[in-house]
Amino acid sequence: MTQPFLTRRLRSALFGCAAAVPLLLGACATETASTDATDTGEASTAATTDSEAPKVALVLSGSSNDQSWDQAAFEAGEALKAEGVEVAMSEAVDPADVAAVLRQYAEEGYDLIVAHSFSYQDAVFQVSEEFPDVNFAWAGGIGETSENVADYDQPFYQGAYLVGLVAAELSKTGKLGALYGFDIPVCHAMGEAMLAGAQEVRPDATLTSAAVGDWYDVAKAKEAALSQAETGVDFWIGCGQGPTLGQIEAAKDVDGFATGYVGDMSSLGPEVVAANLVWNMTPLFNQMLADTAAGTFADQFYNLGVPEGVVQVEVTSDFQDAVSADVIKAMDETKAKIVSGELEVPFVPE
Amino acid sequence: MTSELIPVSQSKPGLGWLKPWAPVIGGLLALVLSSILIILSGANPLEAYQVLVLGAFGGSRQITETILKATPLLLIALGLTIAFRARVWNIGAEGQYHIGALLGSIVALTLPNLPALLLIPLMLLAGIVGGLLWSGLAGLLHLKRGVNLIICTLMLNYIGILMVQYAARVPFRDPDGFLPESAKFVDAAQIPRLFSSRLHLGVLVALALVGVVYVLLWRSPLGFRLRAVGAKISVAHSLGINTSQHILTALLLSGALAGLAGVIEVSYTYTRLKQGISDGYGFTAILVALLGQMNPVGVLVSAVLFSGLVVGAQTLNVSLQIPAAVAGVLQALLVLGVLAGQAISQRDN
Repeated sequence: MTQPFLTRRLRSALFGCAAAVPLLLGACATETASTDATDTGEASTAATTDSEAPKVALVLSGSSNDQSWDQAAFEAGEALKAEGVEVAMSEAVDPADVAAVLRQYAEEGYDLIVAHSFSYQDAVFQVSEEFPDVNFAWAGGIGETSENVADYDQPFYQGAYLVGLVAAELSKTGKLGALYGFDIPVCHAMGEAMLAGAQEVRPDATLTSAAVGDWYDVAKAKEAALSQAETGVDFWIGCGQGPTLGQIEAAKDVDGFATGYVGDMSSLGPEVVAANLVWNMTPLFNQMLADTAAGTFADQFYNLGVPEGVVQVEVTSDFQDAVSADVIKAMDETKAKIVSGELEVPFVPE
Repeated sequence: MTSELIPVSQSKPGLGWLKPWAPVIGGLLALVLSSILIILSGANPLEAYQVLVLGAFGGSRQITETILKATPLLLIALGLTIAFRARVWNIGAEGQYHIGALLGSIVALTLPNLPALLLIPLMLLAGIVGGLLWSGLAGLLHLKRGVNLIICTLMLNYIGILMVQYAARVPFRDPDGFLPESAKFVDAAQIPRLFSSRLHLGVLVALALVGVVYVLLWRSPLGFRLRAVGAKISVAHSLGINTSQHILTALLLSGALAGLAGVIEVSYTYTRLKQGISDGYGFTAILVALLGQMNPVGVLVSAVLFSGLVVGAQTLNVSLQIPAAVAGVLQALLVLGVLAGQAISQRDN
């Protein structure tokens, strides 16, 4: 009774597997048929041998058009391309898969592989040991480096200090909110620096901070921001796309104000996004390439911020009137002090 | 009309002969559809398919990557094969995987001074126990309280995943780290590698289990009873088979294998307890088991192909700069095409 049933099952199992055959056939067909097609594919491997142009791979955890963290890296990559550097990019790479992607770029002869997420730490250090001749950079901001792994800091806190000046003026309650993807030093320092900046003007300003536990979860971040709003918070800064988009949505609900996170986010809420933190990563990438070429990449901990023009703050066009000229002037003066080294923005990592 | 004249056993006229090939045709159709997307993203489809296959099977690193990713899928899908053969719809492998990983991690984190020879078996055992507990819990709710099995296995997934997140965030969090994750396990807690490759002992275990599950299902009295429960529960009941007990057995066996997969993955791939220790393996394995026709050998092949598809799709992104989303759509279309084809080929048979 069961025997014919079984063989049928077995047979169709084999047929199911046979579905892979066209894949393999397709592969063989192209190998002989289209030499011109393979040219573009093989170009990347060929380039290592016949040209000296550096090859850079960017690995992003989100999408390259997120108006934030990943787009900042993408745009710097595009700028490198314009200078003749060969740049490849992978987006939306889950930390669980990133080791395989890093390995692949390393094997294809890339000179510098930028792993653009704090969450890639384990994979970067694991794969970098397997490929000692390839340089890796990761967005740690904690000074964790090795022979062929550089860490690049994100001193957004320096810009956050300037945002604090805007917050002091716009906030009605003087209660500021900070939302982090994770409570990592880079994020933590942002909230504290914004508070320090605001207290220059309003000594009574206070800060409430929370870590959402995810870089991308907007809904969860909005919930957190709304519960901060219940305690009186009406001006936010975010660290991570999700937390920032969440605070922008929350600010819309409670007529508060928000800060764009490392990109121009004003289009997401022109009526609430008062200022943008902008991250121009091009000088950073150029520095990494220069060190790669010069052989001085080992154990680098890059720290390029406001003084280098890598971290910038801009008041959005819709808030040019709402933010008084005095504040704009104070921002310019404070920025000049940071650039000259006269003012050192306090770095409070935890 | 003609069917009245022709004996049923004879082949049908027309396109009937194509029927067994429906999965292949479905797969081909999916490739044709995907070609449109690939062309739209500026690449040559034939080249893309070549890159996809070579990215999964084109070299030792690629094959290693594919095997590593296939291993948890194979382990879980073998367990699900046992369950599904008994018509026990365990949708909770993802949760069982997580609880297995959790208990295994607790052993690794609390007994770091044990030698590997003792630590690894203890971890594996803890993982299996974790999977057993989680699937057994669903079994109790189903058999004692009459809760729908699909619903309670499904819901226990989320509790399992959240329990791992909680454990990584609070009790086992690395005090020196910045992320909500445990400290790295000691080296002794990493399941041994095979020779100097990046493959590990778990790969062999999974392969051996292909044979074990086959023998269990088709060469043992227990397997016969499990399949009888799956074929017609009322008949099995009247044959004197304790159906409740066999439903529980099927659940426990599938949970044990999912838990084993979980502990092997945290031990080898992730080396610490944290959020995101599964690439949706528990859910993907359901597809793997179904695509493999709930037959251990078929499951082995479909796990490797599925894993190859995932690994190859990453290469599409890396080598041809095709957006990750397009690769994702390609994967989904292929699975859909083959599954639809399988359904057609089995109709009226």
